[in-house]
Amino acid sequence: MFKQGPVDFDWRGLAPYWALVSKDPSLRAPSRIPRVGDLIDLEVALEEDRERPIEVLLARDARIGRELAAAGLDDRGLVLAWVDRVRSSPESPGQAIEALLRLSSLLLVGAGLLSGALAVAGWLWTGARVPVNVVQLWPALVGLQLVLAVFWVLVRLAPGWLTRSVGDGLSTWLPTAFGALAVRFAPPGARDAWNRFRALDRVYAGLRFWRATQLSQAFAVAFNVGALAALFFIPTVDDPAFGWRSRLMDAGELQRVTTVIATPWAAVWPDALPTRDEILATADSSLESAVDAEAGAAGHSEVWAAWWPFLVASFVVYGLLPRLVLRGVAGLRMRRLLGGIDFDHEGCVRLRERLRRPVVDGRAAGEEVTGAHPGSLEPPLAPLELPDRVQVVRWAGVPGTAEQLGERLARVFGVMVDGAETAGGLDLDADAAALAALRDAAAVLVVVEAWEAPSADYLDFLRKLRGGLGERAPVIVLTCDVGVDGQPTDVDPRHLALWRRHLAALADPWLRVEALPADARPRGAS
Amino acid sequence: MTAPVFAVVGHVNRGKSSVVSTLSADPSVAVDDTPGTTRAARAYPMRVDDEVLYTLYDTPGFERARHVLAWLRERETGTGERAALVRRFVDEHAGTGEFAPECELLKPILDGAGILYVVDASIPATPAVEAETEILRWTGRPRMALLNPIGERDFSAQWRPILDQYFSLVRVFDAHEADFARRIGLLRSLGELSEDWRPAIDRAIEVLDGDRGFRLRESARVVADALVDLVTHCEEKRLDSDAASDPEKSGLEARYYAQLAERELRLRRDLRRLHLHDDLQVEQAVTDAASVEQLDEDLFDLTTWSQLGLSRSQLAAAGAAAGAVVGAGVDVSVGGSSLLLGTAVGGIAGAASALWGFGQLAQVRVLGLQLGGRLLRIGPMSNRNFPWVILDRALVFHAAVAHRAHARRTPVDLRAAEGVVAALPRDVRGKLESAFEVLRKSPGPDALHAATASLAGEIEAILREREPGRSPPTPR
Repeated sequence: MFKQGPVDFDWRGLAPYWALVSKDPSLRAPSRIPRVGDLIDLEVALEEDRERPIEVLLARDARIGRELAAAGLDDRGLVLAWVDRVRSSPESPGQAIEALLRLSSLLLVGAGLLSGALAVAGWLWTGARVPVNVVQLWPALVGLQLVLAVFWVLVRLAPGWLTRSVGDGLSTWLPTAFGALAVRFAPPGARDAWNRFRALDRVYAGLRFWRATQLSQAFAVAFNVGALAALFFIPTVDDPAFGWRSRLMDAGELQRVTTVIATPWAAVWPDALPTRDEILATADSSLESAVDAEAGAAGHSEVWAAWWPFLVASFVVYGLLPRLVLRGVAGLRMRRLLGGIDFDHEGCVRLRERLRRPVVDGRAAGEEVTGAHPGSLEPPLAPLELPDRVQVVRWAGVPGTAEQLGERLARVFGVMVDGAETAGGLDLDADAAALAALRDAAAVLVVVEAWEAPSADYLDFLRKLRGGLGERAPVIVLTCDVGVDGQPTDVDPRHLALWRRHLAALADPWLRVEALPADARPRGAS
Repeated sequence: MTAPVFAVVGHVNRGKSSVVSTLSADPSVAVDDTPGTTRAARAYPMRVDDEVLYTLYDTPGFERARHVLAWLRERETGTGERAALVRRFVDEHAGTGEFAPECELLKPILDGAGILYVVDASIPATPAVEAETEILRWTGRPRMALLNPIGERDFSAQWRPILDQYFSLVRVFDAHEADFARRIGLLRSLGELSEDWRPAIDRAIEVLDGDRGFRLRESARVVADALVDLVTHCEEKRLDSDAASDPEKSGLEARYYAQLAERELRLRRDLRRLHLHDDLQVEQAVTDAASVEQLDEDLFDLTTWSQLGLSRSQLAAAGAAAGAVVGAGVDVSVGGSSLLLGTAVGGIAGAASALWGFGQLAQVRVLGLQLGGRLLRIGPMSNRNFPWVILDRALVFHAAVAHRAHARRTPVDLRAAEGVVAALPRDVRGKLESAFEVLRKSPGPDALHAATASLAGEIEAILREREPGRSPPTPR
């Protein structure tokens, strides 16, 4: 029995395959095409990073890199995603430049529409009284555009040092001038960003030129649209007349010229070419009789009708279409250039390395629990006079025999050793025996290794010792040391100080810490 | 892949925390000659992204090992139950306050950690060692002994035969002097303790090597960036009069040297942070600013950037021409659609603004160009030795921090440090000098980028060459 209803498919089952795909660089999701604003924000961010402490950069980019790792981004996508993360705000310099460019484009379109309409209107209004001389109008409003468009194409495409240099010049200072003018109205941050962007022509070569071309051609397209709108609108409210006057051409030559000009549209709009009769009829000398000075051109629709279609077609074919093509080419080139940016300059290489490197950290996560020994801040105990006879405890590890030690103590301190016990060994019973033997002793010398840290084991023993002795019986902890050759050496003052600090924790007023010198100087000798 | 755990244990004050600090490259570990500084076991997981490759445990030192061993021996019933008895000891005493350090240090071992027993090779062996090593032996865990010479004397010969009885591996590791190569060497030894741990340790070594390479490369880049900034640095001040006064000069000079010193300090800070020595103190003979000041005595360049001695009409013509050029650009770019309006408007605007501003040259700008005034500029440093001095100091400082064990807490002493650059091979010096020459000529963006990249590459090669146990440069 087949199950009815929607298929119950668990998409989570695809996760391992997606993980496999995302790890294969060749299968990574294609990244979006950057915008000019992204590039500006990237350069601004990289520039600002130069002032940031390196550990801040490493930590930030490690975090972002981890967050982006799952997205399986290619090199470009990674950089763009990073820009999105670090962009200071929606009003970042790049975004501001983008907004400025969009505003500029709108303003240029508006200006183009207005200037195109006004330019044509200015010519045609005069035509209501005096016929407009087509031989002047066409070169001024159409021909010049065509010439400059051709020139533009030549300097961009034609080989040769001359055209290249002109093209390079145009592509360098023209957009620079445009940009400089535009950013003068931008906030200071955006101005700085634009200047930094300009400094990166090596990386983003050509972008500024094509963006400027996009803007200028938007103006030019709007200019032609405005001109055509005026051409269509003015005859509905006025009666402009067209004619021609030339000292260089006669009617036959003009017809040949107009025929060549009309070639592009001859097949689709044959009427948009004045006939020989119409050319003859609209010649300057003929117009004087044809146009009634009092009635103007009204009623002589055949006069303007002869040239109007020709002018409309000229604006469309030689004005509007080339500009649309140039605008389209500029758009495509921009898209191609932006799509071809692989972010391989030094700053981006470093950035990607920071984003992709494995973050190695061996440090502890939490706070460390530390504490100095309770007596470590206490002042060292003052010296204490020894009695003539003492008991000795020899801590395990103290070099030499008990007899040797007794002789040294006698030489150094002038004391007689009544008895020597051993403690600190593995046998704890020995400790207990020593403590028992020392009970009620008049004074005790505990000889320890100076190099050993005064651990809790020592403190325990000394507490028990004091418990057995009772108060007022002096206990001297005598630190000693040996050299690599096994011979006695002087105690390192740092070791002595450490012992003194630590034993101060016992708060025993009858306890002292001294050092056993290496030589056998009698007590009191210098 | 099993992520091994290692407990760093030993008697109090044997440098356990120093070993952990150096192995984990963590200078924040409390290292002190006061016994009992470490009160609780603390984990130092070696993480690569979210993966832990191994963990070190810093532990409190043994304080009453004799008593612990006595407790264990009293209750011993058979050799096979020793580890269980140690666990019982910890279970019975944990949280009671009695034998607190021993419980803390034994816990990670009983949970499966390998043992890294640290002794101070600069002091003689004592009977306490026997109790400690015996307890550790009872745990049955893989163990290695480290001879960590804290002082100047060397009792290694005395220690070796003792330690060889209890430990399968005995290594010398000076936690205060160990550079990166020695750190890796010790890690490799830890991998020998158990076959199960080797893959994780090998991977950790590979990752640490990669990370080291990144830090060297990044060090080279920050040194190169600093060199570029320092060599090309200028300070400028616009003057109201034709000549600069002495206070103006000295003020600008002070600012210039302060900026140089600040930049070099930033370089050092970056190098310290790159090598995880966050709060390192530095001792040196003379201040940086003072030593830099000795290099060049004549840095001033009183520059007239635009002193237009033109008449009113000439100025108007110049302004008109400048404006017309810009306007013509607009005309050309729109393919003549603007009917040369741009040229006309630009020319008029340029002429008008120039005329309006005549007599106020210092304040007037025509299309962004200030028309008058004088500029006092200091820098860039013309002394050819300047970049070499900076580079030398950077290399010396880098060596001091990059090869420094993280357990060391004493200041870096650069007073007796020997320079590096004089001993560089001739071809390397030549390549560096070529890059410096580019920087001295106030290069454009392209040349600047190329020179910076070239410097970074050469410096990275130098750093790798000077790396103990060096590896070839990573292909970029």
